[in-house]
Amino acid sequence: MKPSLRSPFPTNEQELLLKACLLSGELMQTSYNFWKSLVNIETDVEHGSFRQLPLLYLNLNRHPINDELMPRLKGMYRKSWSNNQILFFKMGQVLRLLHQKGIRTMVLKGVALSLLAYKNFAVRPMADMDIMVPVSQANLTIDWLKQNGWKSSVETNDEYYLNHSKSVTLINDENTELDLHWYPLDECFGIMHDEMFWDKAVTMTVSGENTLALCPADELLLTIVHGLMPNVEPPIRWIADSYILITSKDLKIDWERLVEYAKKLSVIIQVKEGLKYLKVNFSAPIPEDIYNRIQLIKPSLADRILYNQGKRRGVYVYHPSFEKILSVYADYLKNTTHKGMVSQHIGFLKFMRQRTKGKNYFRILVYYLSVLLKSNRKQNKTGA
Amino acid sequence: MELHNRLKVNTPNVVHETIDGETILLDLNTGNYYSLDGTGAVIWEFIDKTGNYEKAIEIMTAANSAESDIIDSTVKQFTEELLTEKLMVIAENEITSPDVTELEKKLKEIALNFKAPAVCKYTDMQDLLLLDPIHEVDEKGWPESRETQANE
Repeated sequence: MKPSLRSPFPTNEQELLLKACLLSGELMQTSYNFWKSLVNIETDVEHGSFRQLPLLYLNLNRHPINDELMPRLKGMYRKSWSNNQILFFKMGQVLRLLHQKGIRTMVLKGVALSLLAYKNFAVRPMADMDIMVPVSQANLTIDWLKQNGWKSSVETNDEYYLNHSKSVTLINDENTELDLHWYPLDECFGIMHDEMFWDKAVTMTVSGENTLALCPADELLLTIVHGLMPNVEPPIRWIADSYILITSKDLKIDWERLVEYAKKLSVIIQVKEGLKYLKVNFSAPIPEDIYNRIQLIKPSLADRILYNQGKRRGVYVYHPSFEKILSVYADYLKNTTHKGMVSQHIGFLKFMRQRTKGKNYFRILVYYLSVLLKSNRKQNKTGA
Repeated sequence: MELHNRLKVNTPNVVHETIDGETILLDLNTGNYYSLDGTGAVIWEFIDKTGNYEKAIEIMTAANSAESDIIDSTVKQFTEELLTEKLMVIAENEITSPDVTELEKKLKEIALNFKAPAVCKYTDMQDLLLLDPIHEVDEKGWPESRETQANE
């Protein structure tokens, strides 16, 4: 059965929890009390909220608030701390291995956010590690990791995969999961060169190994775009991550760069919606001129199709279906430099040919027309 | 084990954090998890900063001379355990002492209502990480499982 996709924006209960995690004073206290009155921690806490509980503990403890949930929340904090420490340790080992081969590395998402923004090992629970390498070193990295016991379930050493995927998941004998990226986002296909994102990277140390992380503006962009992709799991933590990035006293967000990259990567709708949510609901201190400027930028038709398609499908597309064709078409729009209706559609056929590794145009057309027909018949039957 | 007045945390193998009066520790080589209670947490912090367990004893016995013998022996025993578990090791270089006025105050406070410091050790991290921190733990929270409590 197809899992239902969740909105990237929180439910009332989730928003109350986030406010209890992030705000202070009376707002925090009221939100926490209200959340507790609506939610039974034994039965009602879904995965997205569950992952916020170590942060909730930290915020309650800072105030300090004492109630009957605190020991269990503290237990969650201890567990998340232990789990993350093990992951950081393992990540240090992977980074050392890559550096031995002369591979440049950058850590993304949880590890970077924990060290740079949260400055805490417990409050951002993680299940895997995300490392990015330059596009030009992606093949070398995959080969090197495979030589050292890491395995992937997909064939990665073809040009199509490298150009049309942002990452590959590798697993080792200890069942440790590594998401190896060469692009931070899908939206980078065909645009990113080796210096993009790397030029303003900041230094950090993970388990004694020096590496890089995205600069705060790029980290915020990645957090919002990734967070606004609907998922079967409620991805509400993008809100906490973004809020912490924006409000951190030690981090300076280069807002001009955020706008520039949002335009360049055609993710202006995501950035608009994300910042709007953070400003309206959490009073996030976003500079007024930047906020107004972003809200006035008109996204292109292709951006709108891509965003709406992304909203519908999230990360799960089942094959074969009309939805699949739409998602492939949306993927194509991410890459194409073709302008104009005719040129774009000829380009789409070429894209499909490359994607299907050389099958002729006629077979591709027949295949997808048959999928469309089947999908149409199914819809008619359902309607009848 | 011979005690030494120049100790340091066994980094990078041992990671630690003190939160709400409790120090949690993880030995990344063995996977052992440790928890130090209020007294142990303060002494741990003091040794971490100064490397000097004897100074901790000195401050505490001065604050509570009536219990100086018990303070002296239990803190020594506690420090020995930290060394046996390889949570602390002997430092090669001198440790430059930062300002520990706040910690000294805390040592005096715990000395006045002295409870022997204890090291709680949990050895099976893989099992511990599988423990549901909401439904399978006792009122103290993870890593104390309901099952362990029932067996005790």
